[in-house]
Amino acid sequence: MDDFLRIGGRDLSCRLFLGTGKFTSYDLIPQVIRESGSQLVTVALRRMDFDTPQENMVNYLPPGVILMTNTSGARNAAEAVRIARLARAAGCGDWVKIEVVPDHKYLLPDNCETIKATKTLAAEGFVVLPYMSPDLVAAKNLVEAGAAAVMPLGSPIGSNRGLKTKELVRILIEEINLPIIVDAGIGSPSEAAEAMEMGCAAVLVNTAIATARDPVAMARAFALAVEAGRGAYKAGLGPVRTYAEASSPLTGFLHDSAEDKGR
Amino acid sequence: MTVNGKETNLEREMSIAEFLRFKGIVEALVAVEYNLNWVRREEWPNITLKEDDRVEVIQIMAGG
Repeated sequence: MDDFLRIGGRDLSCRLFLGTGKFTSYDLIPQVIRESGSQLVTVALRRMDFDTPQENMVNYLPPGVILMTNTSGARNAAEAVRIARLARAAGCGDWVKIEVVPDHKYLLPDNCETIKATKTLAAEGFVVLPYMSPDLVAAKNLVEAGAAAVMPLGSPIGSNRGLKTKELVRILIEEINLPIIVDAGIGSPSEAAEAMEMGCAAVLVNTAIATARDPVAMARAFALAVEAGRGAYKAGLGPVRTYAEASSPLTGFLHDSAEDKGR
Repeated sequence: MTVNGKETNLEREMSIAEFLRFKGIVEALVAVEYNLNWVRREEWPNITLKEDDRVEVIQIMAGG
């Protein structure tokens, strides 16, 4: 059965979104995209350096892949809006990952400014996917503001520390009627699977793949994990119990029934 | 004028489009912000750069 993730009028069959930062070479990016099967990648915008012009990374992206520009570098809503508008002008399309980060140690986002930017950009027709600290009230405000999905962090950006915010993300999945996508912190395929098993709609992974010894093989491993986690979620996990419950019959073999009853 | 945060002197009067060509920039791959407002590329030939202008030339980079 088809299992598409519908966001911004697009049906995505792959629930692994990729960040393109930190790869040692742009040559790796198309290989990683191919192995992961990802249909959506994030990019950033920066001032052009006239003295040392850089190759344009867009040339390395396969046709058809959705570009989602992040607003990294924005410290408030106004700056995020400015970056998103420039991204559209640069030909990146309408998908934007709002990232408003005033803190440089943990790179934790400002949810209030994120909500403001979401409201402005959604009204301008952008498909807005805000990166946020998992907080139910903020997530509800993002829904109200017109977000297309909500992207709580699992742990600080680039930390590879996994799903430290699991309980808060679980509440968002339960209460928010939009796709919940864990963005930031996922460090291993098992953590991606964990997020998907809980009912996350997708995960966004960058550092864990880009900094792996073999990023291309790691992209494949993440793709399998996301698929496995999604499959488990759809299949419905069995109940968790405090005490053992035998998987084989305990009676009718070796011991007589009276002895069994005494246990 | 200021381009990407650096003081820049033009040898002659030129439009945004001419400036980008002068810098050898492939126009299709950049966005331009002129005095804090982004400018449609169709407008680039019509805007003549002046002494006090602030211009940002932005390109797409890898990012997470």
